[in-house]
Amino acid sequence: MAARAAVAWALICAAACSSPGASGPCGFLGSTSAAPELQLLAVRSDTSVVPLNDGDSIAILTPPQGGRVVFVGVRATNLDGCGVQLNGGLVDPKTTQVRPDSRTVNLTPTSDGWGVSGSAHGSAAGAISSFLNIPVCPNQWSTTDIEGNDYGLEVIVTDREGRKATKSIRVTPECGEPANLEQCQCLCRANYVTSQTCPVDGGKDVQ
Amino acid sequence: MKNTLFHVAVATSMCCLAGCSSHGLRATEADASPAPVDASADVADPANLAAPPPTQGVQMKTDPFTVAPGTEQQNCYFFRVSDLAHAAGYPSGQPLNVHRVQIVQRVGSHHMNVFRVRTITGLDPAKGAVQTATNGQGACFVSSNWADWPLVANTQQAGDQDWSYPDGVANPLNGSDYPDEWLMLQSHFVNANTQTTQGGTGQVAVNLWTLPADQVTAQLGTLFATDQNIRVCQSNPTPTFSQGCQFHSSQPVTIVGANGHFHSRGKEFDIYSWDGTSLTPDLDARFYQSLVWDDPPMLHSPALNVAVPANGGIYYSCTYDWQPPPASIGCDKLNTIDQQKEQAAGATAPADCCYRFGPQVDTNEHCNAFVYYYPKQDNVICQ
Repeated sequence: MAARAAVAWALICAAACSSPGASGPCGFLGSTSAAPELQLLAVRSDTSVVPLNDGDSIAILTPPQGGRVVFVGVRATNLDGCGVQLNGGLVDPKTTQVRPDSRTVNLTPTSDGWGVSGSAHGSAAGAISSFLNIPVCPNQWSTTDIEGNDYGLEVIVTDREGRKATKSIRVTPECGEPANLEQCQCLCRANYVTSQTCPVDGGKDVQ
Repeated sequence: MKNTLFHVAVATSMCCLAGCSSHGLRATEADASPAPVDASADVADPANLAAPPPTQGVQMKTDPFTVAPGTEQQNCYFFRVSDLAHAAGYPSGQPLNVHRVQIVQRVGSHHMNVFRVRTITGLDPAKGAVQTATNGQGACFVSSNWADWPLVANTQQAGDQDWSYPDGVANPLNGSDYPDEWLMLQSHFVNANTQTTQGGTGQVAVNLWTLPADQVTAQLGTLFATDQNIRVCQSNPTPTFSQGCQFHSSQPVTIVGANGHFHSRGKEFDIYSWDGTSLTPDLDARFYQSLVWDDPPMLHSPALNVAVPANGGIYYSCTYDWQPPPASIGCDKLNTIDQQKEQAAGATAPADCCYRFGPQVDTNEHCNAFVYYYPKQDNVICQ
């Protein structure tokens, strides 16, 4: 299953973005006197990274650790880009239940005073661990199908000095790997139970 | 927990004459007549742990086994519950309502877990009562082999755990849903760079004491959560990873036991009560903290008694401090492991000397939460 994932997993921030104790350009992004600003990013199945705005769809993908997640990154400025803590979660609007993930990442500086999850040229290849892996399926938590329905997405970015920015938008998760479409839809259906058998590979391409 | 001596106060025993002290099922083939036990015996040595009197509990005890210098030994021991019950004089066809757990390990143990065997993949009791694995090689090291096996009990380091659940709370084995089940006792000893095994010998003994059925008022539930998504890298050396687990329950549950597990890069393990709707937990809701990776506290009732609201759960965090690997391992080996993980997912990875999720102490990291609660819930969501 994982081997069929279309996303090319790899490491984050090799030499270009290092933390204290290591060399590299990682450091403050933007202005120290301005309030932090935050935009959200999403990973597609081809590892491209796209802006994520209110009402957008977001791809449900297979991470190395199994299950299904949505990969959510950030573009931020006016904060320290090294050792940034990302907290994020998908929220069921009917129950307010949330599926959370949290991790410490280095943001890759871009030439405009901002920093991003992933590479400066808009790819998650080699940098997927700088994105939140928000677990969404198997769906044992939401009362509605995950795919095709609106959910809330909340993200908080906090730097090492406590500068903080938050963002809340609506997103529509969509199974993002055509080769595993039926399995994804099965895993993400409302009231999925652990013992339920899902097809290994639907083989349908809906995109 | 490392070297604490626990002295037996009860002068009764039925256990393990020299000829019946070996692994697996033979560990319980004991003389049923009680034998006196020296009250001053060092029960920090599993060899000295007496079995419960007949019909009061069962015992699982491994043979002593060698943990050679430079190795990590992880053995899986299988016990059929009905055989344990029979050896302990219980009538057949009755569940064992486990209410008290005693665990004793030799110094050097990295962990000991007891699971209830469920889906058979790479680990099968039919292949032998004892299945050994060394240095990450072997089915007993592959966590996917016990992915859906419910936790029964666990401890870390030199065990001296003796825990009675709250009054009326029990964990039934061989119940109506699984009337003929197996247990798997997994013992991991390390005699390498970051941990050493005293005398190069490992051994574990576990007593599961029971409660009569008419005294059981609630079932114990267990939660074994693993954040397999961690990566502790040189370029991002002090990361914190957090995830949540939700009890899908319309009623509150009570947490009565907890411990966290990571390896030598681990600096702080926190577990919080969580409402299931907040992105981050209330910091005041933290009920567990471990700052010592090789001697993490095991908190349990009566000191630990945490109410979790309906549809709430736990939120757990692991904070690390990246350290260079020992020279005998080096970044090259870590990068190889990292690359293998990535290739398994159809990808490549630049070298960043990252520790990835895995069982070996010197080369991998963990972020595992063990939680015990009641009443048991059928739908506990950890992803």
